[in-house]
Amino acid sequence: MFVIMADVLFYSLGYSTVGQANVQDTSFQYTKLVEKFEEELNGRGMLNPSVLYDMMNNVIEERVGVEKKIQ
Amino acid sequence: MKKENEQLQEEVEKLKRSVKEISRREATLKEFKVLSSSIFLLSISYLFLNYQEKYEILKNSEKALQNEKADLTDKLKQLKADLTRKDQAVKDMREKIDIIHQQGDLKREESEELEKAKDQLRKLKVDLERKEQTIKLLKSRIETLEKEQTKEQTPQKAPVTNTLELEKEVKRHEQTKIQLKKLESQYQNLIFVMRRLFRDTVAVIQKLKSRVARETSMKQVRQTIDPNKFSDSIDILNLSPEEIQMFVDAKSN
Repeated sequence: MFVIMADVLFYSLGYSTVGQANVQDTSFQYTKLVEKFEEELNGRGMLNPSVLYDMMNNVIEERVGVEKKIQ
Repeated sequence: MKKENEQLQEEVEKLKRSVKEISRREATLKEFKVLSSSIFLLSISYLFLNYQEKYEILKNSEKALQNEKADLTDKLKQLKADLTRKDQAVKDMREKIDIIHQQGDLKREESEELEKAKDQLRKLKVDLERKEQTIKLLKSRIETLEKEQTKEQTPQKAPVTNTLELEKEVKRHEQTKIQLKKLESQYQNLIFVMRRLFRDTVAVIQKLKSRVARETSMKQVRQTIDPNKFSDSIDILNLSPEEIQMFVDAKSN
């Protein structure tokens, strides 16, 4: 029984570790992106609408692309 | 002498003869006179007779004429009465016609007066419009003059106008402050919305990407690790690989 459980855990941990590594990479990337957006919003000078628009547009397009992939 | 006697005798004889002749002629004249008088009488009597007949006839005719005259007088009276009646009717009709004519004249006069009044009204309208235009022009001129006057008077009333302008400026400043506050709040709201939108979309992307990554990694694992190797264990537990994943990584789900 112990052997069976160990096998199952090994199997399940096999794909959770691979997946989590990818997720951690992307989360770091997105936290940086959010920070950049916050900097743009809370900057000392005037807001740059074109930069904000580009950032927002990129994010939305990415979301649309991912949704398409899933579908 | 003898001769003279003879001559005288002859003359006497002549005279005698002439006397005889004269007497004869006188006798015939007398006869003639008698005859003529008788003829005259006869003719008179004849005439008289004729006249009597004629008189009778004339009397009769006179009577007839008198009757006729009476009839005619009656008729004349009737005709006169009728004539007076008709005259009265004609008079009435004439009066009526006169009244109608008068009414027609009155109507015509009224229509003419109406037309005149209309024309007058039109003229008055045109005049009014012209006067309104002149009034407008005068008003604009007065306004320009007033403006010029105020411009000329401004240096004298400078302090008063300054205070008024300052008050106006203060009011305007307050209004702009209020507007600025409103705009600031709107700006903050918009920034908040944008931030939220960005973060939410990023979070959704992260979720979706992790899901995709998991699916791809599962595929990779399935490709690299042989599931048949663990099939016995999985079969004993009676679980699918997804259910095992749920069991192992409950947080991510």
